[in-house]
Amino acid sequence: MKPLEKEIYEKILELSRRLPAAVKKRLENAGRTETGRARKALEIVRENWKTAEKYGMPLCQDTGIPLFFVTCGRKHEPEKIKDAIVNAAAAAYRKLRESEVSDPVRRTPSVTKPFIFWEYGRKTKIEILLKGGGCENLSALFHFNPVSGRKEIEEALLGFLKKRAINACPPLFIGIGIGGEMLTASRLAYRALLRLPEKRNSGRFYSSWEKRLEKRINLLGIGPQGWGGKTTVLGAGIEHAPSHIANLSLALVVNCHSFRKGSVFP
Amino acid sequence: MKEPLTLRAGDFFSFTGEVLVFRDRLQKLLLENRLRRNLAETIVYYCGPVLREGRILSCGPTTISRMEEGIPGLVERGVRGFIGKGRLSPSSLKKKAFYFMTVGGAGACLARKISSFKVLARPGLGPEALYSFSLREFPLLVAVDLTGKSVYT
Repeated sequence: MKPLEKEIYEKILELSRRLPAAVKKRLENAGRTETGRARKALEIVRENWKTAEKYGMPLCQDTGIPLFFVTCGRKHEPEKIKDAIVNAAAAAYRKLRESEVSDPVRRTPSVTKPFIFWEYGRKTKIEILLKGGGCENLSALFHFNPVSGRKEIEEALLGFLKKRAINACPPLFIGIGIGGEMLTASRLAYRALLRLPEKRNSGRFYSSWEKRLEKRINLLGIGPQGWGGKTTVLGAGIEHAPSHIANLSLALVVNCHSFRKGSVFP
Repeated sequence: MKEPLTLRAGDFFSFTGEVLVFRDRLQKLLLENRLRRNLAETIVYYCGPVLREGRILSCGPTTISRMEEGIPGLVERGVRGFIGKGRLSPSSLKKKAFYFMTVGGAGACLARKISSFKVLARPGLGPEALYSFSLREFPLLVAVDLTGKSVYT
């Protein structure tokens, strides 16, 4: 294995077995505020990451499909990065669960092939997300009436999550992309998700909306695993882009509590 | 462990015993009789485990709502309980079977509760094959009981 391939391979395995420190901290803090069933669920989640770390076992049987968000700098050749990612993912998933089928309709079992999304920038950075399938079923795209305001959007999101959040392994991390068209909105939603739980939107309007949304979702009372409680989301991020005057697109990407994300800097 | 029939929605208990393990695709094969199996008096665990080097490394529950359409058919064939995560309409169980929830995303910790396992059919489907697990003190929450009462409504 070449050095970059090895680094990515090891990162995938590490992410499947060890939660980022910031995610563990959020989960632990939530555990302290909960009682009853919610507390019990979070205690089992805590026991799980300790077991996974101690014995090198995958945190979740759904080891996901690996998504790569590459910021490619001038010093690196995209082709080489792509080869390293493809080979590393294939090797890593031989030790994890192969959750991919090569054809979504005919359902042919397959080896894991990564999905790669490219951006260009000054310094090269490879962000990795092991995306579980259960929470992905809750990710969605909405097209609002362009004159809908913040309030209307918020009510629609709350209504959407109220019945369904239970299926996505809460407490959740949610990324929201507003504006652009469907592709831009979706990419923004991932941008918003990947900076959680550490960072807020840099603007005042959107950062206060993030806080408000977290508060209101948590007031729904769904709680960890849907067992009731105060913690339904551990973080909400919003990013925005310009929009056509006829559109107000919104992409929602949902991640479960097993938020397995990390970065490699070649 | 309590007498199972007295379990009520909201109760926690530790389950020790055998479960049949499968998920989406295998359920379809069972319901279409493309795979024959006696399901009388069984408990189904909806899970697609990580099986590597002869060991189950992780085996948490998968979302039961995807399987909901087939559940009445399985209840008719004698399944007495379903283990999963997420929402299931109590009506699909017809007051004849339980729905037990366990913690989604706790696959490593739950894998430590398996005392033995077998691959029963369709190994080529990998995580979607049919397995049986022998569980020891597996943590469950009664989500829907035999009176049709549920924990999440």
